Amino acid sequence: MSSCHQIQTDTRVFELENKILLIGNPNVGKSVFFTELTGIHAISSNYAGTTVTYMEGELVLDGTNYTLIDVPGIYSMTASSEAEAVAVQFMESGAVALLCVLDASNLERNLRLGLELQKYGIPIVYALNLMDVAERRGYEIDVKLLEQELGWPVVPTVVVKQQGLKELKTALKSVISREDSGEVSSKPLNFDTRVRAREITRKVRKHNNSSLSRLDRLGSRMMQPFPGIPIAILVMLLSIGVVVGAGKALRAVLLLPLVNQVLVPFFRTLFTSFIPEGMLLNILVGEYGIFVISFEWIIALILPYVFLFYVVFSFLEDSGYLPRVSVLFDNIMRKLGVQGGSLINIVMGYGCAVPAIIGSRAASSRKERLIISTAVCFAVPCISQTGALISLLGNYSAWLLAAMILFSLLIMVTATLIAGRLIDGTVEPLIIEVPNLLIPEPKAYTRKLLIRMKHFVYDAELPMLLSIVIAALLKETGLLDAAAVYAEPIVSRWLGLPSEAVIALILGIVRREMSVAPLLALNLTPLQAFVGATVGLLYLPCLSVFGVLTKEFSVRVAVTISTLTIISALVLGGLINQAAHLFI
Amino acid sequence: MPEHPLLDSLGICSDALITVQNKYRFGGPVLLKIDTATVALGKDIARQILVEEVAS
Repeated sequence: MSSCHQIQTDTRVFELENKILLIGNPNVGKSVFFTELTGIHAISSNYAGTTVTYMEGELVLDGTNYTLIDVPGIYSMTASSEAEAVAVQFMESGAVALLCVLDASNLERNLRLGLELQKYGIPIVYALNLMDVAERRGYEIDVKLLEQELGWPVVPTVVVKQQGLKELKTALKSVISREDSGEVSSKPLNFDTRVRAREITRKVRKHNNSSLSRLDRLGSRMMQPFPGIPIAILVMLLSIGVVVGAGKALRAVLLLPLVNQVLVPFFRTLFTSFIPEGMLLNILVGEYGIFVISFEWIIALILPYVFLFYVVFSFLEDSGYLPRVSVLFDNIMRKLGVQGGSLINIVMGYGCAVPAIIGSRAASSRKERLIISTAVCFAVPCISQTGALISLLGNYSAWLLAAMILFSLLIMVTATLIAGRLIDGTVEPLIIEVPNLLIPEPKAYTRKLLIRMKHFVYDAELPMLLSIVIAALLKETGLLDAAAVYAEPIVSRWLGLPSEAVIALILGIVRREMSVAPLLALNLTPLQAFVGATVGLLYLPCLSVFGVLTKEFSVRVAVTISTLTIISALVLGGLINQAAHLFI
Repeated sequence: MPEHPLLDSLGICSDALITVQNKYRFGGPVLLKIDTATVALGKDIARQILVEEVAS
């Protein structure tokens, strides 16, 4: 998933003319506006910090092209964080207009930023978003009065339901074409934003003493240790259950028959009809042929789990549940040397380590980012690898799988504690805004799921195919047998695996699941499967992760983490094997 | 008030009226209500904030 994230800030974007900046507090829906206005899909979630860098897209108003820029969410213009620094840079580079998104359910704080932006003298349109949530909470906002107080157009919106977008475009056109924007902005600009925001809020907002809605009550109950913690455990078990259970069902009912009875026989017949028997045919459709394992591994093994993981994860993200878990478990995370907010990144790592490491930018200190990245690289299998692990261990017994899950948690705790000791720096305490609990909007949710699957197909397909081609070539040319001889002391004597398992170690460098998938065909004993799973789990995440570690930190960090993962994989895997043999 | 840029931005500043909604044991955070927003503050920073109790 690396290509979807722009990592470096391109200075060219500051020089663009006709810029419109989409700006506002974190988690007010800016990325949804961006998607709706430009047609470019930006990933949005229901918590602060989903957009860790800007995105740009084209917005056409009456035949004129503008560049709309989705600026990361900020609370103020003090440039105190990376995101705020980016925002200040954009503001100072000049723009034809600002589209400032305000959260209607949290008016006072949002107005502070809204007012602060006026000091830059750029025409503004305010989108008063989340009107539905404000109403649900019993708040009534006098939009006309707010418009007067602010001196710029205010458009009420519910962007996830596409409400108010047309009015928003009209308002943007009018402020851009308004020559004498001096008239409205001639008001004194040296006011104290905090005082003024409170004043305006008091004037325009009325609270009807309505009782809390069911969803709001559930939202706050989820944050009390009881029933919050039981609920969290239930949600976790349910999530695992859905991914594992539905994944197995999908495989058994749909994908395995499709692959084994339709796709593989089809290509086998096709190629056998015009290619003579020999190495080439074997490379294509032999036991390890490209057209055999690419279907078996990618379609039947990996895809169902990737899809189901994002079905569950995207739902949790959009509902606003994850920050609640962060708060509940901050005490445990704090003892591990990080803060509760990191939990979101770690959970994200169970999908793919790349967005988890990039997303950790939202964490405040470098030390914390390094700890999270280390934990993810060591002990958090990405969903593709999880799929392979479930098949490998689940074939023997559910207990073996459960043991692996517990073991991986143990490794995570250990890695986090050690990293915390060794890395210099400080970890900032938890400061997190808890979003409203929402039922994900079906349209936005489906779109997000589609983007994620598309990214997976685009970004993971190539390395997967590459490793499959390598596998087929190694196996069918006999090179693998040669390599197996050299690796024998480590693979067979130390790890106790069949010497062909060396292929897992070679492919595992390219993709994380490939350190497990080849083991499936080797008829391992339960002990061998557990050792193989341990090695695969700890082993170097994958080439993309190496790349992202280099970009986000440095080559040194990437090399250090990779070396340590490989060493610990071989050492720990071997120790388990040797220890087990003492007793058996 | 501890020095942290986020605190002021989130509305945790001197003279702010804040309600404590929840406290978490074993070194957990405090859950605060500021105007309509809910904010969780880690223990290490929350303990540095001086508060004055007012009747609700």
